[in-house]
Amino acid sequence: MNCPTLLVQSHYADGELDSKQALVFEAHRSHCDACKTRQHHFMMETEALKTALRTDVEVLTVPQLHTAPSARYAFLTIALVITGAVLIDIAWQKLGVALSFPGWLNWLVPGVVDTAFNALDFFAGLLQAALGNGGRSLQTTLLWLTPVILLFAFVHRHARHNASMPALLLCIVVSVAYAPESSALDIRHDDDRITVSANEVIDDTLIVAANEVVVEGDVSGDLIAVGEKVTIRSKIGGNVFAFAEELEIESAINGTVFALGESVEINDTSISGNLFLAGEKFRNDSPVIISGNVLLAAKDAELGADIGRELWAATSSLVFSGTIAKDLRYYGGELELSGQAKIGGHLRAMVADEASVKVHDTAQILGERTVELVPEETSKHSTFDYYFERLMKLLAAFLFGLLLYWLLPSLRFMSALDGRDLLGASALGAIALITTPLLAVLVMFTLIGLPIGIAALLLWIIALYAAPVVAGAYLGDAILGNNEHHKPVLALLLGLLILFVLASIPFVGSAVRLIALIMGLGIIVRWLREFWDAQNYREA
Amino acid sequence: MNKAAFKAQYRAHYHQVFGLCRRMLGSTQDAEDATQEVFMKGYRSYAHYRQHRPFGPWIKSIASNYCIDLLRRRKRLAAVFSDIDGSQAEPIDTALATEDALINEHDAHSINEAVIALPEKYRLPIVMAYYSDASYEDIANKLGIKKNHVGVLLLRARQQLRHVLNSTIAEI
Repeated sequence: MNCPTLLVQSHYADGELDSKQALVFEAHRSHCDACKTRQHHFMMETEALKTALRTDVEVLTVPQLHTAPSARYAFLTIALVITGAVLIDIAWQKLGVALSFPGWLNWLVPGVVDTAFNALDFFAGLLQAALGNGGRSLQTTLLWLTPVILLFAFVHRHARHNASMPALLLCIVVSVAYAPESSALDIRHDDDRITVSANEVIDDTLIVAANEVVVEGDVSGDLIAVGEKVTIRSKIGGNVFAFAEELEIESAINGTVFALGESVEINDTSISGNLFLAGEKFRNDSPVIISGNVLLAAKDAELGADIGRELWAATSSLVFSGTIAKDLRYYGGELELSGQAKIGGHLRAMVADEASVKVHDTAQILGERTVELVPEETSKHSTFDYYFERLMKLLAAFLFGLLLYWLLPSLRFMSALDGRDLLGASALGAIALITTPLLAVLVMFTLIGLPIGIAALLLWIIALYAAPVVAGAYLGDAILGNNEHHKPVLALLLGLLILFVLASIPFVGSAVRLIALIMGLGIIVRWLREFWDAQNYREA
Repeated sequence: MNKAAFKAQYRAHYHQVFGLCRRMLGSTQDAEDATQEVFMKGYRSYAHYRQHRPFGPWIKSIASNYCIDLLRRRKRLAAVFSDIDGSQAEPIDTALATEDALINEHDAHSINEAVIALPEKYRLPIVMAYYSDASYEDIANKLGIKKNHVGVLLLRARQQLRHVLNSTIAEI
């Protein structure tokens, strides 16, 4: 009689032969000594394998338990953020993409999205201005920085600790070697007067300080000018930082202008970047073209510039007679738009009374015109009630956090999420923020789905309140460190306190609130998923 | 449940998890990294873990899944098992077909070293079957191969092990 194949015998030894075949094999084995021996061998080998494999591997020292995000994910996160910034920047600056959130998002989170995006827009412009002088643009800086970080992350991951330090040094060397060239400095100062004549060309960044400064020669880099009276009448390749009692500019400036002066006049000038200006009096009579944003803080201002983006002005009085491609935001006393004024976006003014905004009949406002009245009382930041309210909110959030973590202690473990997980969770949070109410409303249209939809909406509202608390706890854990001496209550309080302080800062506050909301929602969604997985866990 | 409790479990089970990762990944360095990742994952879902269950099998199931995922991410699984997927395995001798001594005639350390030295396609099924007690079906699902190939791989793995173990003795 033929013996079954080794494969069949092996299946039998492993208990994987089906019952019918097993009976056939057993019948054969009962009178076949060779198969009996073979089965015995199989069994002995299986036992030996199980015993050997379950013998602990000798480990001399058990390493420290790491629950903090690993370095490579931190590097990856930084690289991703930088890459994202590059792409947004390219889209923004090169392709002229106008970024604006659809209005219905504001319906979901009133006021937050709009303000956050405006703040983002503003600070992106500021960042670009700070980095983008001459041949060194934000894109090039970030583009070379990204591969350097990724290279280090790669080496750190694959070469491990023994090669990490040389790799870091190598990356620094590479960074320095490939970094865009920085301009040299030309520093001049005098007690009385300094004149850079028209036939002089400064191929560096020029720093000049005197009682009276006159710059008529071209400067290829940045210009920093300080004096009682500063006059700039030349081409400037980079940014201009000018501080003077009396400041006069008639130039072609290839960067951004930061100007501070008691009296500021800008005429016949083109500015490729933004204009940040603070002074008592500001006026311009002849054409000024500004490609970026204008931020103006002055007592009295007369402005007739062509502004490529937005004008944000805070003045006692402003007479505007130029054009603005996007919005005009005004805060202060009186605003007058003359007959030539043209606003491509919205006019949003915050003044004491409606009569303070005078718009000439022929002035054009293509978007909406909104006038908000400043409450009569003083700034909310200077009232006791404001701080009391904030304190109460902080206390409420803290107590809610304690309750939340008491009811759902496993949420606490989400602080061990690393950078990569947090990014993914935040993306989930953003999706949940938008889709949950939409899905809930859709479900409500079905009869059986009405209670489910209402329950989902209620949970979503609770999650909206819980999300910043969860984000605060994560932040607190990240700051205090997730070690043996970890004090979760203190971490929660610290995280919430930091979030509340940041959220109270104008402009930045809205962005902080939005980020905390998305991050917190993401952590909650992630926790729900892990909870679900744990319920379905099958013991090995 | 706090971190101190988890840390105690970590110390108690580090060796086992490291051993499993090393056997599955075949590299001490990868196993060290993987063990940390496994315990980090475990730490995050520790509160969901039902405490009346033993910690060891739970953390080892995470380790096993993590190692498989890691190999899949590195696209090694597909490459390793592509040669047997969808085709008939090489014929196996009907006799025991070897003069090599049986595996059980060697000590645990030698067997472990021989398992780690096995090619991935034999090592993974061996570890999953005889360390994690996974069924052929489970192994097939996790490795993305057909169930009947699992038996073939295990049988061939035994033959390789006998051969490797006896070669080592011969070299000595």
